[in-house]
Amino acid sequence: MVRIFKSFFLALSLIIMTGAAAQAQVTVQGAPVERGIGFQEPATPIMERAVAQYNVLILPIVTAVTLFVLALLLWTCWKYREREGRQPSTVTHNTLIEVIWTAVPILILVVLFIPAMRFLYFNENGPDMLINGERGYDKHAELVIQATGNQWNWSYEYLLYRDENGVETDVSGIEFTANMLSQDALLADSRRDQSLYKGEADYHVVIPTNTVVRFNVTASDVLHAFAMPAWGVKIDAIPGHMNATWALVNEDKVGLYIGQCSEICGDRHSFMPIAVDALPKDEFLTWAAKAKEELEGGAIGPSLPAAYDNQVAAAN
Amino acid sequence: MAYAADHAADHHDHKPNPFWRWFGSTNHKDIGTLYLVFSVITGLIGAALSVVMRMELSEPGVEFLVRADGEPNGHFWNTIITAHGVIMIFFVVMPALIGGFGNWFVPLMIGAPDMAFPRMNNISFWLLVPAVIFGILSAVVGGGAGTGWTFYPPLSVTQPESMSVSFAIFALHMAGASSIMGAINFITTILNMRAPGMTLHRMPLFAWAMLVTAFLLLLAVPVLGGAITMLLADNALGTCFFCAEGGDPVLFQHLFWFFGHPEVYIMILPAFGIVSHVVSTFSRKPIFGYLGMAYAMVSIGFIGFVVWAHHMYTVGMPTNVQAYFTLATMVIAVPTGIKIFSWIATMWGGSLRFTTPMLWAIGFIFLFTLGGVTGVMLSMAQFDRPLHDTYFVVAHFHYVLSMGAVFAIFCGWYYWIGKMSGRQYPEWAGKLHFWTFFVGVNVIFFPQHFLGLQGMPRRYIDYLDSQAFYNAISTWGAYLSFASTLFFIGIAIYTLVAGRRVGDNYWGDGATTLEWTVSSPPPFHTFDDLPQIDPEAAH
Repeated sequence: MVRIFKSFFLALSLIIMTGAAAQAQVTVQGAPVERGIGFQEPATPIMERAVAQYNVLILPIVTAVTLFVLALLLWTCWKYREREGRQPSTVTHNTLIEVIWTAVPILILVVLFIPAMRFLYFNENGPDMLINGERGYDKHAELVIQATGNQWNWSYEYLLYRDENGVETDVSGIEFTANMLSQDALLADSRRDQSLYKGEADYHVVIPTNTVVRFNVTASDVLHAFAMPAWGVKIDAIPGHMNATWALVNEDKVGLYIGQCSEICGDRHSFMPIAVDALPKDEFLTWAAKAKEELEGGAIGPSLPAAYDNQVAAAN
Repeated sequence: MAYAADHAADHHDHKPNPFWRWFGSTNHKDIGTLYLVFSVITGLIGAALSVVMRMELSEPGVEFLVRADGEPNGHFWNTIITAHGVIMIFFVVMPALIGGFGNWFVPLMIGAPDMAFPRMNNISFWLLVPAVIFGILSAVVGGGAGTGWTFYPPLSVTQPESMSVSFAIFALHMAGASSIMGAINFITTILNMRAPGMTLHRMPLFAWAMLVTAFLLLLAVPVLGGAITMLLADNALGTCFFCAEGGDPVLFQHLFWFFGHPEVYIMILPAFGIVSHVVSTFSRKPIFGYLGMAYAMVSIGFIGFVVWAHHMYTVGMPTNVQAYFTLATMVIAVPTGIKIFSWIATMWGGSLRFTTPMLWAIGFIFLFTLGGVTGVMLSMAQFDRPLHDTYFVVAHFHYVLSMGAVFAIFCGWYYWIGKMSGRQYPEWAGKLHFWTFFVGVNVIFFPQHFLGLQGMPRRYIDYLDSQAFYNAISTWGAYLSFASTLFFIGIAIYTLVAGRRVGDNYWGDGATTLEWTVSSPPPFHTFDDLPQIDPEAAH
């Protein structure tokens, strides 16, 4: 059933693409893919860097080390297998080889350590490495959202939006709680990707692309963790603590991102997903204005961004 | 002369009646046997729990662990993963490697008649029995402790009316007291009771491994004891050590991992010791770089105490702190590399016999390397972000524990069962067990790297449809591994009942440590006359 819906949806999105709707498409950007064996497609500078390090440095090195040890083991097993008349050697020391197998791993670790440190401080300093003494992402953050982990859903509160020119938009009142979307509700909503059961939430967080978004993360009861694999973001939600992290979704990575709670939190730990739409800034502002109005009018959550409706409209 | 021999034989074989022999035992070999039997039983329970978990995860959707209304019973799932972790760590791997092989072979290898404190040795074992009973009670009483083996608050204190977490804490208290007493016993035995001529630098590597392990236990377990006692007070008395309002949930994590990271070396150092002896025996060569091997273990033990917060990169620590823990953690790869290469160098130039224990040792070296390099990946604080608390971590620590520590347990069992029981296992059966288990565990855990890279969080009862493929494969591996484990039980029973009888040194001239100079099984009392250690014959 799910597969049928999925192919239907795929066909649908194809039609939309050819139909060249004016508004951006909300495709699934960040979610596990079938039989995927690597990271999800990176959508932020942080995750791009992680994937680049993984592809060009870390995976080649660890694969080479593992295969080297395997080859050495197999070769030794073959060459020195027991045979008639073989006298085992009595050598138990060789200073040169011992120095080599101590020094070479140290060199390999240095090769890994230096980019690891640059990467760590890149995250600390935010998009602008040149800013010293203060967290770069604070200085650049245009949107601040507080995410609070609860048993077993996420509450979001939009705290501040101030664009790069310092112009503030009132986002107060955009405050809602997002639960996992039940399978029935998912099937009933043709706007949503039917393959994302357990990853889809009833209400989506919406953020602008190409914008530094700061997430303040805390919890109301037990530990949770706010995670978004395609962004390289994971930060624990701890009651009594206010943690912070940031994301800058690349301009060409408009779409839906799925994350899942990543710290054991009880009965429905597996069922409190995080669903975020990253949209162009103007569409974000349109959504924000509407969401503020809806929520202040008593709605319990904001409606999905217009792009979802346009998809269906275009298909019809 | 004849009289003296008779007398000696009589003295050696004087055993108490069966009840006191087993329930009041002060003999290191009998206590070692009790530990091994204990860990086989608990190992089956722990493995059965993992099969239940893999069955549930075999396809998307919650099929088995459901409530009456058909809703997923996530709490029951959490209880199962908690029980699996606690049982495997505290009641399988530690009793087998430390209590079992440690008790059996440390005194034999260093030429001591017994452990230094035989009665304390007895209570060390018998504390484990109520401990595991409390552990099992924690899973079945009051809804079960569904906190994960890490017992992080506030989740572990959210149900003060339930006794389950308290039972789990008491279980760890008793297992911890058992470990601390065992550690005191090993340290005292190794430092004071070596046979004449056996200096520390002539001591077999397994004894070295146990000495370092015992120091780690002595220093780390009391920290766990303190942390879980405070947790118990939070849970049962309403104190606020770790609550959000005036306490700190993260402090518990620091205390827990100050114990928890040395704990992983507590589980793997004895494995290093066993593998060293097996590799040396079946290469018919002395161990290569003996001193390097011994001091690599010492340095691993030392550094193991200063890396704990690499389990906590996502709690929001300052960047400089994360940088330090990245550096310290990566350093451990150096002594570990020395060990891997020294084992291979021991084989190099030898005359290798691929008996069952040797297969387990070679499997250990390769798979531990694989688990080690994924550990280096996880050590890098920022790179760890997308992998933290995902199946990548699950794959990593099962490569070093399921394929590291557990491989070493089987390695030691096949190596020493003839010595311990006087009867030898059938070689074909041991090899079949090895190959089925080797394939099985790799099929379980290798695909979990992919699931983790794709972002599947750990401790999940269910997952997105797109993650079905590798989860299904992983489950088939679990079935194969469990079948292989049951086959091992068959081998063990057959060996003890009907195995071929063997002599003192059935592995030939590669086996040089002192346990091969006594009969198989050894007499009830060994080394009434202390052996003299010839410097040339050492290790």
